[in-house]
Amino acid sequence: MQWLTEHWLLVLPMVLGAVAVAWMMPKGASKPSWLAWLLGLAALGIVGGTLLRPADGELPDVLFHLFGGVAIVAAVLMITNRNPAYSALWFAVVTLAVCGLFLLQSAPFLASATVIVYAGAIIVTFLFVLMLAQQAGATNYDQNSRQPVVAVGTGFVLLGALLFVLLPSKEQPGLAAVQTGFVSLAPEALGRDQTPQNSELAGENGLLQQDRNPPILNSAVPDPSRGKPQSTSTTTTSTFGTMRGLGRSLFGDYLFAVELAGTLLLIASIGAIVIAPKRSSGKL
Amino acid sequence: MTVLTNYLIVGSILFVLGAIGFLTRRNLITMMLSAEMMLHGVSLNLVSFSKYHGNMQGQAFTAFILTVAACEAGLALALILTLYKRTKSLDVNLWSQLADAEIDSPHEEEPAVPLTQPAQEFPHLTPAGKSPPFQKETAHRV
Amino acid sequence: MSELTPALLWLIPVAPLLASVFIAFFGKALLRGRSHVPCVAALAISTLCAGSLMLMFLAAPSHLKPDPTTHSFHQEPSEHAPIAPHAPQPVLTTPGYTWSDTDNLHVRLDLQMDAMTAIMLCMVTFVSLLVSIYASGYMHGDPGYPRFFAAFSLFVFSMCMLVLADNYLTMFVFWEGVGLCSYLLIGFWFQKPSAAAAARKAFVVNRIGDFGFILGIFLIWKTFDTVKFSEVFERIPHVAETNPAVFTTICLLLFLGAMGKSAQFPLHVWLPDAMEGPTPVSALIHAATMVTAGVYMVARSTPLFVMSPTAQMVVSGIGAITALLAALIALTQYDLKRVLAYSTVSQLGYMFMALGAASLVYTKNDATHVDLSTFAVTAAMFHLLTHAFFKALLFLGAGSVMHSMGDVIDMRRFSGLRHVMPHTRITFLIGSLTLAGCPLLSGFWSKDDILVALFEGTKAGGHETFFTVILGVAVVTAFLTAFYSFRAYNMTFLGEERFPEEAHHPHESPPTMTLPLFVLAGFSLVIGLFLGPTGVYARQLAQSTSLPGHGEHPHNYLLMALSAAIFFAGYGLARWMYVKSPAVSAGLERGLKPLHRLSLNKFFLDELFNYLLVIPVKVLALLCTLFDKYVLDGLLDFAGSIPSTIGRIVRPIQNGLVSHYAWIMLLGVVLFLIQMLRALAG
Repeated sequence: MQWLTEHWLLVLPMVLGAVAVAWMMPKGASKPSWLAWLLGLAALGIVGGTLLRPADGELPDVLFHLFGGVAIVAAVLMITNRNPAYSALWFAVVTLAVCGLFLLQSAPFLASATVIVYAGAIIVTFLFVLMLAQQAGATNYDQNSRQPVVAVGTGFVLLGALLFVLLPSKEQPGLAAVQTGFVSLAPEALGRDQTPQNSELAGENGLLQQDRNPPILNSAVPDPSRGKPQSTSTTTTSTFGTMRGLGRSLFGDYLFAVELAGTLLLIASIGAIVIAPKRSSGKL
Repeated sequence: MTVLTNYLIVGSILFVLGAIGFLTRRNLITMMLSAEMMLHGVSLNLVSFSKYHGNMQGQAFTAFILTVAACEAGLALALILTLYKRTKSLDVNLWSQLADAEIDSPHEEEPAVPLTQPAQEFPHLTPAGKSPPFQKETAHRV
Repeated sequence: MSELTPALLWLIPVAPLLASVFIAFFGKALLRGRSHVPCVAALAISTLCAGSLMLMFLAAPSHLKPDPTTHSFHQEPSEHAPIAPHAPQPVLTTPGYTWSDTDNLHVRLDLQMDAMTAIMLCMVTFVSLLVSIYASGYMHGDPGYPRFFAAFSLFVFSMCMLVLADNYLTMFVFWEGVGLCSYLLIGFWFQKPSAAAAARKAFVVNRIGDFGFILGIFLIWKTFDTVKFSEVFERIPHVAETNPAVFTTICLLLFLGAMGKSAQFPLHVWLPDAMEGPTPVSALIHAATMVTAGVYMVARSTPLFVMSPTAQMVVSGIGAITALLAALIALTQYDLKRVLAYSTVSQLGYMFMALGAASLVYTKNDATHVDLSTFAVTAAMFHLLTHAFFKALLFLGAGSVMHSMGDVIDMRRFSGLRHVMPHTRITFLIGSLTLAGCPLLSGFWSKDDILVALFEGTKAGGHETFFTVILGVAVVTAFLTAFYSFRAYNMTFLGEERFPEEAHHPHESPPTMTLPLFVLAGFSLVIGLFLGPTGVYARQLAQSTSLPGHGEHPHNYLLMALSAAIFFAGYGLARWMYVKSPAVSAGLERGLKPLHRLSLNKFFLDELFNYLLVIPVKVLALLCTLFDKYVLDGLLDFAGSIPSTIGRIVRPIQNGLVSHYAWIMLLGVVLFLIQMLRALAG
């Protein structure tokens, strides 16, 4: 209980968001109320105000807020919409917003590929299936979600747990310990040298306190001195974020995996052909 | 200037919203879309860390996620069509044969709710090469 | 001896076994009416083998040499023998197969033949042969003809193995084997409820005795670390020093087994009921051979019994009670076979009386010790032999009467058969004379030996009164025996000629049935005279391993005269009461009505057992049933309901919905994550 009151800034938006999303879930004939929207936006605002690191007001930051907000709002709309066709369209919006975020994170190739694959292929296929299967439009099972309160509650507890890790760890030794613990649990996942980093973290506990932004999670830009390249063919700073760098990585480090992925695609397409109902076997 | 944590927050929110959608929605297609949205959250996570560490591993994995998502979508849609052919419905609740034989059928837990939306009316277009007949109502509407 | 000796020895039991298996497998399909052929042939082979070995024994002792090879005669090491033997004790052993070779239990299925075994074997195989010939006529046309001879051969096999066993465990196995065959043959006409009940009764009553027997064997094994006869007897002096009290326990337990098998009071109740089986079975199993297994076992264990005077007195006492009681019951029975059955019980009691006198050692006037054990055992075994012949003869004669009278056996419904069945009559008369103890016939000699043994017992130190009573009982029983055997004979064959309506054409039995009668009659007449007074039997038996050797063989001419007088008294009384003036018997019957009813109803022992044992056991069983049904079943049902209750609670998780499973997965992730965060936050 004490924990909840201590972290009311995290608990409050979670509760508000959960209430909002649960309220918006399709439930019989009722339409979603504007109050639910208000609650949801308030929750989003609180999260944005407390958890986001201070903005510098430059263009990427503005764009981040724009794309992030659009992605979240469109995602809520997608999962709450009563018409699967609209859901698919809102999903396209989410995809586009996420692609914008990709661009901001120096991944232009992935951005374009995601747009092509998702918006161009997957969503279109979904719509085709919808057209084939659900020509009558709205149906009973789209009108009623299944146990929305329980599912939303569980989901937001998960979200709370995830965001708790990302809380600014100022004057919160427990949280700092969590973040340190994550690093010590999986230092390599963060691309660091294991031994010195561990001793540094263990020995100089003040490092995290000293820095206003904990160096591990909150640093703004990549630090070449920290991010030690893992292999010789990995990109250097100069090629980072370019298609050239990604190509080198894919066809250098991950050549075998790429081949495997290609095989997987082939097998999946064959499987899809086999599984899909034949025209000869009757009208769909 | 971009901050890693911000992107992670957006990614986790997307992930959780996708999970909620997967759990609550009963339309197989919406469920698949929710699952794809969870993948988006994860992809965003990977890309952010890639940028943070200054190497391309995260982006490479995102490319693989993209591939797997495409495979998954193709297979899932084929499966959905097959299932639809059996039950003439996309309701996931109809597929509960894994249930213990002695418990009540999950279909009974919700009474059928009347459709809120009436059957949609689509305009009847005149076939090509014919002049449309004049209709008063149409004229009024226009 | 010859190389053939072990083969001959093995052939004795194996031939009937093969016949049994052959008849069991092919009897129904191939042999049918000829099913007796393999059985008779096998028994003839066994008889020949046993006879030739017997002759070897008769010839052997004088020139027996110690022989190291196991396949031949050798002498028991006499320096370790518990009681110094007076004569060499030839034993023929053949190695068989190792049954159990554990750390401290070595049991081999070896055959061992000494004098006692040889006598038993000859008797068993010879009487079996005659009875099987008889049965081929008696059982003719029965639908279960092959089954009868299969079980019959199996019985002979088991009996031979019982006699040939060289250790208690093997003996017990075949002891049970003969019990099984007895069960099968009593219940041969299992369609008859009375036959099925009699078979069950015999089996259950025998279980009580067998329980004691197996406990006795356990105790022997625990005490002596072995179950082999020779080793047990060797170690008796050692145990006698350390733990003399154990002998009484062992002997009483062994005697309990003998009581069951040899139908001693109070376990005798099964034998009269066993007459429900076919008459040849009654003759062979329930008169001549199987019921003497108990006597044989006690005689075989003589070295153990002589160590315990208490047990010996129990043996004698039980034998006396049985002999008197059964003779009293036999006085009034109207069923011819039951008279004979009670007579068998009575005669077995006689044998045990003699066996009980085996430990008596007394000091003569001239200060010489007289060891009675050999003489007493010899008397019992001699009576066993003669009894086997004449009782088989009597039963077969009764069967012949039954055959002729259309399966009627009630003596009130027929009489005066002397003209219709002359052959049966003359042989039955011989049997009755022998049983009654007519002087010079075999029964006279063997009974006289027993009386002498008991009389000598009265002189033994410490137990004079006891053995005087026993002797009195024996004399009274001898008188009763003479009376009831001639009562049965007179009621059946003398008097006016009457037939029951079931007898469509009263006739003499076919030659296959009368021939064995004549053979048995001949043996009954002469065997006693040849073997008894001449001392052949005593000398022969004294060589057996279980006996201390050739002891005293006292004669008492006074007792002999008394016994002859008793015979004539009984004979005369029976003739007066049932032939000269039948009104006397009827008047006596009325005059002593309570006593007559007591005897006719077998002293109400069956009813007594019913009230004392059966009904309490049934009540106990009912209580157990209720306990089982309501307490144990309730507990088990409760235990069984725990998983199903848990399952009912947890079952809704498995509702088959994909979303539900996904939710549980998500829940797991959330719980795991939260727990990890708590752990990391310390």
